[in-house]
Parts: sequence; C-alpha cells; structure tokens
Amino acid sequence: MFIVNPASSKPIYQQIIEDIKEKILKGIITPGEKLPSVRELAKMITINPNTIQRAYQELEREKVIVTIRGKGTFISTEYQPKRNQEEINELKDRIKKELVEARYMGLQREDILELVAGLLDQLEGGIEID
Amino acid sequence: MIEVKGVSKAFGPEKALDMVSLSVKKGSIYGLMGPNGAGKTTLIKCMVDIYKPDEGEIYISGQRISQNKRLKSRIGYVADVQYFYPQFSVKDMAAFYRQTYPGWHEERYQKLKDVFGIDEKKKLRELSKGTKAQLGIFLNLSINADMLILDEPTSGLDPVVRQKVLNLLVEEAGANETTIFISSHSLGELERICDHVGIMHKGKIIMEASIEDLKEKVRKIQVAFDGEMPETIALRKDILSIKNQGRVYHLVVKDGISEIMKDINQLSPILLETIDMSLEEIFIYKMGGEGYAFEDFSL
Repeated sequence: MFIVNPASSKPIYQQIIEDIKEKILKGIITPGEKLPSVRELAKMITINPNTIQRAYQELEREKVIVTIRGKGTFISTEYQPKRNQEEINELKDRIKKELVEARYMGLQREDILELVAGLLDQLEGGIEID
Repeated sequence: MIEVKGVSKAFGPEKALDMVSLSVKKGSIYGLMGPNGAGKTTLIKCMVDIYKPDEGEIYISGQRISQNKRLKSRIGYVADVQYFYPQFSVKDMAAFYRQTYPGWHEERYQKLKDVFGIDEKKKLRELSKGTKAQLGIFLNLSINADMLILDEPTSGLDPVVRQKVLNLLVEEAGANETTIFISSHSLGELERICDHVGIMHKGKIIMEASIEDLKEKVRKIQVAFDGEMPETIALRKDILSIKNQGRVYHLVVKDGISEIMKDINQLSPILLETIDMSLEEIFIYKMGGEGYAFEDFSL
C-alpha cells in the first residue's frame, strides 16, 4: 500500500508523508479512514518505527491525520490540501524544465500559453488527462 | 542502551580502534557502515566482550560489559563468521542456547522455526552457508534478548530471507524495544531499518547522524556559470567534493546549505539547484573525502 524507495534522495519519512498525501488527493484513502499503527506500518514496509513515527507526527502537525487515543490513527475529515511555499518552488522548477524542453522543440510563448490553457480547460471540464 | 566511551584497541603496532565513542538508545536500531578493515568487527567484538579494549569502557544497560556474565546472557550476538559444532543437529544447537540463555522463549522459537523453515533434524555440517547464517539469527531472536548485536547478518542471505530478517528486526525494535546494533555494507537496507547510522574509517567514527538528519546534512548542488567557475568557490571548506562535466559542476556540501547557496547566487550563476543524495552516495562521497575512493582504472 505504501511505497518507499531508499535509493531515492528524499528522506524516507518525507516519502511516506508525500505518499499518504498523494493517496488522499487521488481518493485512494479517504477522510475518516483508519491508517495502520506505527508498528504495523513499520512491519508492513520494513521501515524503522521511529521513521514512521516521525512521518505520522509531521502529518498530525499538518492536521492531515488525527490520532485518537486507544482507537488509532485516522485521516482527518477536515484536511484541506494547502499551498506550501516549498512545494510551489518545486513545481516551479519542474515547469521550468519542461519549458526549456518546449523551447527546444521550437514552441513560441503563445504556443505554450495556448497549450497550458487548453489543458486547464480540459481539467476543469472534468476530462481525465495524464 | 549501549554506551561506548573512548575505546581503543591495537593489534601489534596497528590501531584497530582509535578512541571510539558512541551511544545507542533503548529500542533504537543503529547501523554501522565503513569500508573493509575499518574496525567494525573489532568494535563489535569489544561490545560483546570477546576483545578487551586497551583503553575506554563499554556500558550496556548502564553496566560494564567486561566479565559481566549476567549481562551477556541478555545479549544476542551474530558473529561475522559463525561457528557451530559441526556434529550437532539444529535441535542440539537450540538445546545449547536454551541452556545458555535464561531468556529462552520456546514459543518464539517454535514460531520462528516455521518462519525460517529450517529442518531441526539436520546436522550443522550439512547446512549451506546461507542456512547457517539464518540459523544464527533465528537462535538469537529466540532468546528474548534486550540487545541484539549483529555483524553483517544479512550477507549471504537470499533476497526473500533477507526481507524476512529485516522485518523481524523492525518488529523486535518496535514491539519489544530491543536495542539493535547492526553492521552492514548494504546501505539501502540500513537506511530502511535504522534510525541512526555511523560511518567508521581507520578505527574512528567519522560521521554519525540520525537517518532523518543525514540527508539534510549532506547535499549536492548543481551549478554552472557563463564562464569559468569563480575560484573562491573551490576554496571553501564546507565543500566536500567538486566534480564537473563541461560547465556543469556538482558540489557536495556539508551543513549550512542555505549559506553556500546564497553566496553562489551572488556570483550570478546560470544554473543553481540542489540535488538530494542517497545514503549510498553520501557514503561514497564521505569516504572519498577521507582518501578512500574508487580510482578510475583499466586492466
């Protein structure tokens, strides 16, 4: 269910956080759903329990999950994905790379803007793109 | 809890351990890495009182390990090269452990026997190298130890068993608060299961960090300038290594990345970004900095 890649350059706790957030956004795990306990998840994905604990603490601080004593850890029903400067910067970097690529392909400013606008229209129209 | 305080050990003129100090908290998994001959096994043998340090002390659960039979009966130890009586069967060996370790847990032993699938009737001389390695881990997990000290326990195991063993270790630390000290060359493995790691080189611990801080401690910066890279950058002490492919330079930086990023930014580079590193890369760079690097060669 959860995937971590130790060869990746991201700290493992960060990978877990992002994986959980991504799964919420995609609707794979839904608000109110119970998550495995720290120990269960540690065993499931063979990761040090303290590393899992760190990820859970961070998610709890961001109010993505809530822990109810004696009951377990749940996805918060009030979780609203919010903008975070660091993530925006990362997104900027990714877009930048693609823009360089687009320029090499000979696309002009207008072509690129049109392309992006088209994709946004599709997205808002509810058509799946990937 | 393990505390190693200023331990040195020499064999003849050669210092195998040079003032080594480290501590491992209860329930923590500590991974020790280092090149061959760094002193990892010597340190482990001092921890389990096979070697007597020339200097310094080792405390386990607050007590000195030296000559402490009771304390040692609470420690599971898997040696780098394991010795079993060849004419013993697996069952005999288990009986030997049952007799030796007061914490022997029959129920766990029976459960683990199924997990590993080792035939109790087999003689030890009939077991393959890998199966013997499994047996060592299996028996030491059966004694309900407070502390597991494992010298490259996963070398020689097949990938399926390796995964099982790692799972069992994570479970041990999580459920029973067993303190685990493990040496390995498989850094991906260490990164998964450990919360702290240390790098040893020439008898010294040259770096120690929690697994979470580690990747933030050492970072790689990719930078390119319109012309030559300004010389002032190469002179900085916080840069561990500089490599380039054409105009693009890769700088490996320790601590305080924001400072160096700021400084470089003022030199108006045409490209400046950070790249994270895996534990494997960090290790290789760190060792390169110590003069232990892979030199390009051809035969």
